[in-house]
Amino acid sequence: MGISPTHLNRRAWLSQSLMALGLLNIELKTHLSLINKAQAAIDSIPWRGWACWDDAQGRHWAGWLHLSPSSSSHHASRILVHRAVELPTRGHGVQVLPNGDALVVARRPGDWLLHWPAHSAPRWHWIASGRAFNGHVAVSADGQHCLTTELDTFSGEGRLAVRRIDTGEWVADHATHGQDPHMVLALTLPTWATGMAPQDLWWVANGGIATAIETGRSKREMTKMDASLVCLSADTGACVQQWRLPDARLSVRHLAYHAHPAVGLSLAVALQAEHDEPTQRQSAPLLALLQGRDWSACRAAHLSTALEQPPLQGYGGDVAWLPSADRHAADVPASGCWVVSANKAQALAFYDPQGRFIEQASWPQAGALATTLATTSSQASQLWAAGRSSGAWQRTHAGHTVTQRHACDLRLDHHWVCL
Amino acid sequence: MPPHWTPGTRWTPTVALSVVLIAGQWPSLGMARTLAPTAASAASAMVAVPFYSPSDAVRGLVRHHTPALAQAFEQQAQDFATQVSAACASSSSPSSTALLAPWQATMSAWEALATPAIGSVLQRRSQRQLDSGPVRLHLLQKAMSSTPTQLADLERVAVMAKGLPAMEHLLRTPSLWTQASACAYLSLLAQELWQEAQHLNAEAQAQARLSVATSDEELDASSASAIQLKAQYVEWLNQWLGGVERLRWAQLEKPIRTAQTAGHRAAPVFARGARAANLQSWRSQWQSLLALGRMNATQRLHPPAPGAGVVSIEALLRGQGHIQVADRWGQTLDVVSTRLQALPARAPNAAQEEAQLLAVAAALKAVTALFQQEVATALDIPLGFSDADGD
Repeated sequence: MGISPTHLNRRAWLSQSLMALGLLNIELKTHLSLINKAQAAIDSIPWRGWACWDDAQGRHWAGWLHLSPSSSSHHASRILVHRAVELPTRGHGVQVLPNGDALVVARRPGDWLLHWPAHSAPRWHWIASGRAFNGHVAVSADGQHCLTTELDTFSGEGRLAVRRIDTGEWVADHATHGQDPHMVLALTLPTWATGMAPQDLWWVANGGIATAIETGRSKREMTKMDASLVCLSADTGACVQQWRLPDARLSVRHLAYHAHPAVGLSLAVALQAEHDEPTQRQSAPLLALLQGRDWSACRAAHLSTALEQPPLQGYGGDVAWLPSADRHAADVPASGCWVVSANKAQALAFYDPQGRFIEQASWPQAGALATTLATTSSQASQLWAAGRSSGAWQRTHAGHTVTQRHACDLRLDHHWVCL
Repeated sequence: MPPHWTPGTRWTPTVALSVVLIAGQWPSLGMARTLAPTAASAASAMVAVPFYSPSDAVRGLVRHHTPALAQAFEQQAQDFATQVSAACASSSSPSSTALLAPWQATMSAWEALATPAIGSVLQRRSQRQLDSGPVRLHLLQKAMSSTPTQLADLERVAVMAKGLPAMEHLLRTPSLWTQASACAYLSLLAQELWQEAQHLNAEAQAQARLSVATSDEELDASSASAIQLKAQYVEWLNQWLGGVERLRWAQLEKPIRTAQTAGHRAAPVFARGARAANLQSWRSQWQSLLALGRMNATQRLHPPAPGAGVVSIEALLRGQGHIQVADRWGQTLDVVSTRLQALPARAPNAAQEEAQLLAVAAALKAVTALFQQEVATALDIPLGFSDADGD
């Protein structure tokens, strides 16, 4: 049954959505309460997103997005541009700092890094010749520096550069011990994880695919592909540990993590299959997990691919941890699931904390993912999934799951930050 | 309609009309033939454009396009090296001005060969060796101070202190040129350039000979050859698009955007050191791209038989029956040609120059967009430079 939110008020539409999903099989009163709770949660959270996108003319932009007022009784919410800056080439990775500043970096092979302070004009930093940005940026633990994955255009090797955020001044860089470094995460491992003092680590996904600046994004020498996940010391830049999957044609590209003293730390890796054989590529796993309890020097952590996943075209776009829908989430910290945007399968794929496939939800051109976390029992955990040209999909957990779709005229890129 | 088509067959109908003749009507020549009006042809002549396979396109490149350009580059590089050597050996102070003209001719020959970067230029990473800019002045000064005397000494010199950009910088900077080691260093760089040009030419001629020596039937019958030819075909089209993007972004728009965002009103720094050199460089690159993108006047009247000449992207489209795409393709390329040609020899004021160059960049962007959105699909090729994929 198709449900058009444009002809119903929001609450009635939520009710029909649940009914359509076969979720109204228990006492109506209880469910109305759940619906009201979910609706209240949606209404109470002023949503903002930071993303890159293309407009209808193919021009590239980055900026703040917001939802149109949700009080309309006849129209679904629409994602609108709050403020934006035109980009010289297509942007990719986005980071938002606690002070509201934003960092955006060009898609690989890229030339520019944009620092947009919350209350002043954008500042552009151009990469030196001999280097190219590879699409992602992270913020160091001290909040003063940013980390960018880069390509040494002469050697083809991956580098992780450290720059001051305020000036863009290059401070240092380190080998990523592989080619095609893509996403980087800066994580501080707490005492409960390390068994000693907190440890600042940088995690880099080496996609493993050789490229040359002369050939742009063309993939070269695929038989020599060597993808890996590498952990670098934030103090020295030295390699602490490196992991490779047994299947060398799985490109390691995007990262997310979940940590709690009761269950340890897990790092999720979204994969993109590069097998020559189509059937092998189409049935490849989209997710790998690095899990372990003893994180002192990361030695006990083990990298393995997802289990029981049906064929999803072998292309994982983005990955996120979605905390539990349980309103007592604080008491059940491990509860939740991993989500991967299965871009080419037009779906979102859900996996349990151990990487076992749970289900998939249809979502055309699924790309960017973000979660907004429950911080109090009155708030909901929400998953925000963008489609490249299909708007945004919101899944709210507040005692029950409610999904909503928001229209969007922008061609949203593959990553965003939602607050 | 004639029952059989032979290369060079041509007839001029009374009305301009595109007709696609379906496979089987000319069994000797493959899948489809196209009768196509060409935008610039006088009297709306309609000429049968044969169907070209990927291997026809690659043969056209290997046999009829690259060898002549590689030979011209080697010749220019040799002339330049000879002139620099003679200038440095003369008793009078060598004139840097006199050497700029042969340097510029060498640069143009290089850009014609290297745009798009395919074949040996790509495999040897010659762009990196010969054309890595901008020059790092401290590296250049350091290299000159080390007084290299033979080509082997240059192996220890960073690429940003040698090649065509370093040569130009030496020739245009009096404070460097008057240093005692400058002419000897330039002479060594010119020798290195000539050596690389010799390698490129030798490989281009060898590949052409091999291609001619191997019959088309042999090439087509071998599955390994077919795979290799298809890969070369895809690489060529991707590199063509890469060449457009290099010209649009790296050479035209990026210097302007960088200057605009520098925080103060800085002048754009383009790849070459003078207006005339930049103009010549942009036009040389575009002419080379155009030769592989657009059918020229002769080809419109006499499309080459498969394997017997250069097959442009427009010819591929027409040969496969994509007439409307080919028409728009031609018009889109012509906008770039017109805007590039209209650039004045002397730079106007900064605002006008910026507007003119960004207009050229916009026209190039339209070429990229059309290629990505329609041409690649029509020709069924995967794109490495695509703006449409994820990451």
